[in-house]
Amino acid sequence: GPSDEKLKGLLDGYNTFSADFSQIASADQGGRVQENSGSLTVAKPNKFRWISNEPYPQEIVGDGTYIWVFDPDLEQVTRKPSQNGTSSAPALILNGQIDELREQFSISGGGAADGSDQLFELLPLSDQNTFKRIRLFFAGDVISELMLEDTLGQRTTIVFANQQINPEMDPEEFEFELPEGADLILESEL
Amino acid sequence: CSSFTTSEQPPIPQINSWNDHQQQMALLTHWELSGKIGIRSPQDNQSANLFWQQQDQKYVIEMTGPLGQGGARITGQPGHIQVSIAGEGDFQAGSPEALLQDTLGWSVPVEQFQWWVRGLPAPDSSFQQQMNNNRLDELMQDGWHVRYLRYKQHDIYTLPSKIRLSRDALSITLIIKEWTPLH
Repeated sequence: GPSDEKLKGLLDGYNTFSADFSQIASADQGGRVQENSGSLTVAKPNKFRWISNEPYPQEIVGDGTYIWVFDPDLEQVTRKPSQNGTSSAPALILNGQIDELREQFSISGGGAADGSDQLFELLPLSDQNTFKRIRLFFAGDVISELMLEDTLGQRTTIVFANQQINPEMDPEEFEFELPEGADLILESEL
Repeated sequence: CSSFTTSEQPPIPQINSWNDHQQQMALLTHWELSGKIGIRSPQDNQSANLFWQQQDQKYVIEMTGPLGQGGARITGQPGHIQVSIAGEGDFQAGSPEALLQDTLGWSVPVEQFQWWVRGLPAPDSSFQQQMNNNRLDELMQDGWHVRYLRYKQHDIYTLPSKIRLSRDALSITLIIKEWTPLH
C-alpha cells in the first residue's frame, strides 16, 4: 500500500546509520519504569551494534552471520544464528527490511506531506505476534522515535538523537570480540 | 571490542548480627526490585530485564528482553499462579513449578524464592547454610544451591545484589540493581 512504499522510501534513503538513544521501558501494571541510554550503528542489510549503558549495560551485535548478546552483569554472551534474529521486528525496522516487515505487520500512516514529520503504525497480522503495536516517528525523513508495545502491555519507547545518515563506517564496527571471562553460550540452529 | 570494565567493588556493608538481619528482613514484606535475570539451561539460554513486586504473599514478576521483545509476566499468590507470555497468552495453574516449566522451560520454587532473594532461608523446610560476615554466603535448600555473590546497602537494609541459584543443569543468575521497600 502507499504507507508501505512511503516507509520503504524513508528507510531506503540510507545504507549506514548511527544515533544515540534513550530508552524507556514501562508497563501497565506496577507503573514501574526502567530508563536506559546508549548508541546504535547500522549497516544494511543486516549488521548493527546496539550498546546500552549503565545501569542496564548490554551489547547486541549483528555481524551478518550471528547475533551476539553480551551482558556484563551476568558475564554472559549468547550467540544466535542471524536469520532467526533478523525476523524480529526491531531488527527488520533498523535494517529497513520492509518486505519482510510487511509479512508480519499491516503498515499504515505516513500521510503527511513529503519532508514533514511522519507517523507510521504497524499492527500485527497474526495474534501470535509478541507485539500488539509498533509506531515509528520520523522528523522530516530521519527516524526519531520507535515505540514497541507487546501483548502484555509492556511498552518500550526509544528516542533517537544525533542521528547520522550514511556515516563512514569502520569495517570492524560490527565484529564481536568475546570479552575476558565471559561465559559463551552458543544457540544452535533452532 | 567491548567497552566495559568491571567496576571496582563498593565497601562491603556491615550487618551487626545474623539475628538482626533475619528480623529486619522478616519485616520487609512489601518491596520492589529491578535488575536482570540470566537463565542457563539445556533447553533455553536467555537474559532479560527483571522487575519484581512483592506485597506480602502476592507477587508480580516481569521479564522483558532487549528492544521490547520476549515479554513474560508471572503473577500469583499461594495456591494460584498465572504466567502471561507476549504473543502466546495467559496460562494458569495451582502449582507454580509445573506451570513455569511448561511455559518458560525453566522453573524455580516461587514461594521459597521470595525468601532467598532477601538473603534468607525459606521457612518450613530444612537447609544447610554457610555464613560470611553475619550474612548468608551459601544455602542448600529443597534441592537448590543458592550462592550470594554480592550484597549492597539499600537505606537501612543490606540486601543481595548478585545471586546464583542452581539445580541440576539449570542455573539462574539474578542481578539486583535497585531495591525499593514499599511501606
